[in-house]
Amino acid sequence: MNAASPVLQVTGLSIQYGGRRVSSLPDLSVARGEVVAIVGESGSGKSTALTAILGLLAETSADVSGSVSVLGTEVVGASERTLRSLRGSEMALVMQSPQASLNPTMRLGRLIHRALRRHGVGKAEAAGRISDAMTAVRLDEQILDRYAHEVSGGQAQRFAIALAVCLGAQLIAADEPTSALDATVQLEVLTLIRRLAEERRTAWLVVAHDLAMVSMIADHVIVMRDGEVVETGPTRAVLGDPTHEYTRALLDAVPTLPAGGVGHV
Amino acid sequence: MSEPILAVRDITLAYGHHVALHDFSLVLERGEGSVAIVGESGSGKTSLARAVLGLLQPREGRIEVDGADIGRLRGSAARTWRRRIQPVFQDGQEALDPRRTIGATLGEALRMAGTARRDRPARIEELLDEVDLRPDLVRRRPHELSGGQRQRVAIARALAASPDLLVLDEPTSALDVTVQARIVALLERVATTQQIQLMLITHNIALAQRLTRHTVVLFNGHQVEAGPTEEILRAPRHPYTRTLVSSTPRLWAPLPKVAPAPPAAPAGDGCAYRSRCPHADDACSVVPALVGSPGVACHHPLTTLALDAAGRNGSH
Repeated sequence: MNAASPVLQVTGLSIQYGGRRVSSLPDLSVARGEVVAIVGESGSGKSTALTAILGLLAETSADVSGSVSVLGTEVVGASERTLRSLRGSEMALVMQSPQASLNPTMRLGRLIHRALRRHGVGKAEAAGRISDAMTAVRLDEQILDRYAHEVSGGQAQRFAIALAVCLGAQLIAADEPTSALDATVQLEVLTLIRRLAEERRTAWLVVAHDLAMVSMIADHVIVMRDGEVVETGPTRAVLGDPTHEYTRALLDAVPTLPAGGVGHV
Repeated sequence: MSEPILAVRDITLAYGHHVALHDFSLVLERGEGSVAIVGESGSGKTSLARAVLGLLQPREGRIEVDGADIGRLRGSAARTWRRRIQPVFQDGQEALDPRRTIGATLGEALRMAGTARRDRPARIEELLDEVDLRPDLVRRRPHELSGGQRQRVAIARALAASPDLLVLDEPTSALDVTVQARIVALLERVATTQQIQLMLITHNIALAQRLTRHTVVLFNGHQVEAGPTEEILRAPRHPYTRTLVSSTPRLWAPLPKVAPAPPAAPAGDGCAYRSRCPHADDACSVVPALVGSPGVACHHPLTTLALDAAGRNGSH
């Protein structure tokens, strides 16, 4: 990985609940323009790790140790004030179900304006940033007059990404960003993730269970099982020539279409 | 010649003013394999499953099982139809009674199917064995089981009735991938060994490929394509089917340059796929009929030649 100046550097991260370790991530870094995927099944600890990286685990219930550095700022043990300054402007979260994660009582336009105001962006600058972000995710600005439930799942997910883009997030964490979407819309979101990584140098940390999807967008893969990393490395190596039996089992479980592809006779 | 196991004849399904499925027909002959109903959210696929299970009355048309209109069946004939068509839903957690032990759930299913009380314990053991579950699970309740185990119990409960047809609504989509693969293998096995036909409701066209011989593709309440599953996957003729097939993530497939899809045209305004379709023109203001065999409902169906020229995955 690019060790020069990673956007995210995780070292020796361990999360325990009541003395039981549920997730452990010894080493992970995400550079600018890079897409890193954490894959695993339920109970693998992948979402817990993501939540800890974003500083969203309640300290009262979870015991987090190790180091998570976002653009040089330590997240583990950070004050709420420090975390607030990181969220949105440095790092953002895109969730599985976009409609459930967007405030249903506000039109999307008001929602995005409010987020920008909270991050100290003035009215004059806001309009330009919004229009830029909406162009980046290929959404028509007319959509800003609607409520979250009035747009499609794919549009809502692209809006959630636009929100992160317009706040200037350099690290976007996404928890199963396509699994709640219809098949024909999934690829749009994957294409968008890849394009933002390449064109805007956004760093992406994506939690997913679909290895076919991961093979299409990720530079690096971390395979987790029962709270531990079982295999990690460049996507080509890990998914192309897995060394761990569990990675092979995951690959074998991917439903595949017949070779030849569409329209090939 | 025997009557089809299931014949859906020109049904329209609606909730109030909203029409979920327009003028839909489907005939599944006995012994002719399984059928997949493929579509996205809002396609009408789950409404169709509900209608076949008798949970939703068609506004128009009728559904026949072995030649009898299920809307008119009463008494023992209705019970026979309900026994022969069994559902398996997406989430075993919601589909199983949380207060009942697995043994009680299966016992009740056997009672409904007319199995004598003294035969039930042995039959429960057989059913658990058929779905690869240990016999001691009979004393457990659903929350004590994993998602995969619960789905096996749901399948065992369906098998208790010795059905002819299983209606499966997204039977694996709530499960982890390695668990999904095992449930699919189980469904394949019971379909073959017990000669049960499946009606698989799914958004996952790869699952249809694995489990069914026939596929019907729905879009926005309209049947857009129907035919042998292999044929539809190899050479889809409706532009929507083609997009659906090419959007299924595949290992190492290149990301396409996809333009954002505008929302579907409102129903009644010509072809349902019109506003998304790259080939749409004036002809598409008229709803296309499903023609040919395999059938396609499109004014400009794709030919294999055109697909070869345009297919992005041609080199796979």
